[in-house]
Amino acid sequence: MKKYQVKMIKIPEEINLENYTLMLPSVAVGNVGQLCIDLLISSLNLRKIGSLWNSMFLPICGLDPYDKKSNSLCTTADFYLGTCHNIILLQLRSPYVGNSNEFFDELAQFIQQKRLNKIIILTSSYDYECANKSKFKIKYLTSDESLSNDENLLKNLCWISHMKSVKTDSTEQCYIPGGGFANGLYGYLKTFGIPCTVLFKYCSEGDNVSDALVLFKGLNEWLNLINDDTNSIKYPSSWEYFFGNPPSLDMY
Amino acid sequence: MASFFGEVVFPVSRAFWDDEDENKEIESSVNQPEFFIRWLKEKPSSIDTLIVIEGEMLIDFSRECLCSNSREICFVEDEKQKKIYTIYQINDELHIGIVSSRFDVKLSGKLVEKMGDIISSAKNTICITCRHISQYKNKNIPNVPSFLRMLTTAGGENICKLKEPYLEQPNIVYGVTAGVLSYSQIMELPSVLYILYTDSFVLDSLSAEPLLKLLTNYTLLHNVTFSGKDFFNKGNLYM
Repeated sequence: MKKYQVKMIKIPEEINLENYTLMLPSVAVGNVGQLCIDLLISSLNLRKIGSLWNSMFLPICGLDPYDKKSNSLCTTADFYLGTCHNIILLQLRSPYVGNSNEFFDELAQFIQQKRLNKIIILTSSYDYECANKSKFKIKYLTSDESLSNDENLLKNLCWISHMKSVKTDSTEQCYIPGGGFANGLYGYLKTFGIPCTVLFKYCSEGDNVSDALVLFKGLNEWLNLINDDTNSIKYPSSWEYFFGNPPSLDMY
Repeated sequence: MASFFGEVVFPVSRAFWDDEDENKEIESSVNQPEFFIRWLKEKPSSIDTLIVIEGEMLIDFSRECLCSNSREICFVEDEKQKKIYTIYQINDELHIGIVSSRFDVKLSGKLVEKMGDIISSAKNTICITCRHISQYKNKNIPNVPSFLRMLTTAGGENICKLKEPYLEQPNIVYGVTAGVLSYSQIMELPSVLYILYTDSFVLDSLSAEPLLKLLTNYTLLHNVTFSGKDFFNKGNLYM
């Protein structure tokens, strides 16, 4: 019997994405990757071009989080396009449950079909897992030779290569504790020969905007997306009530 | 998961809804729940209007007032044969689907996917869910016992018979009804989601007002009587 499955990436417009870079967050401790993608979409004023449906994500919906005047719907997984920088962003807005293999497979097919150049996964890891003084620095894991072979660039970026390895069933992989599916997707894309880089920062849960800013700046040093100036970074309007509503005036 | 009696066990992170470690993909794939659709009559080729109702507060009300004289025509059950979603045929035009209060919300995506066929066959899909007013993020909170907000797909505005203010950013809705709306959006189907915000945890005569106004627009209230219904006895009384 054929299992009923719905796998969907829907981008209504016909857009040539050849040699584009796909960036996506891994839903991880402190939601740092998601916050960083929010900052990118907001600061670069990116346009929504489509959505992804996969049952492993908890469905959510609301109005456009980047434009208060818009009545268009935002969903769990939306694609945003930046033609100036040849980037396509996938923002994920909810936790996931269960097996992520279908999602990985769908994404790998999309990357190959659209001939995307490279993938960047933004994530975070439990800070108590950080054994040395690299807590405030960005760590990376890459299968992208254009990055790993460029010693000068890596020296300038001041990132630290992630070395923590665990052995599972004789295959060695670099595990990122609390990093969500980042590690799994990295490994999956590697088997397809798709160049992939994972960037992450150690953090603990709370107000993680500062962690997202560190990750954003680190990424920007590599890709030069915006002027290295704090004024160029725009917070999305949806961050307004991160910590609840303002106190009621009836209190006073 | 182990049960720690009397011990406060905090979740590992707000980002993870599953207790399973994110690295244990092989094990979690074994525990994937399965849902099954059972039709009690021939599956209709098309449905004119499908109303999907989710939220514990709305379930008793819907069963008593909207579906009491109607035929159950379909249900979705889990592996333990527990009904998690039931569809009633109200008349030729109208079908009402109710999500069980026992349904685990984190599996919403799976249920919506299972319902995909039914959603696709509906000409109009109306979703109704509820939230407590404390979850409503806004500087100006309406000073009323309850109020409605709505979200629509691109083609959904044309089918909503009652126009309510859009749910303001950054408020979001999650769960089955949010999934139905998202699924409709991606399938380019017309759909509307109404969110009833109430200041109580049970539906009483005051908090039901916007809901009754909404349902009147779908000509459902002919058979509804309110006197002596249990769900109203839950509210407005202290003893």
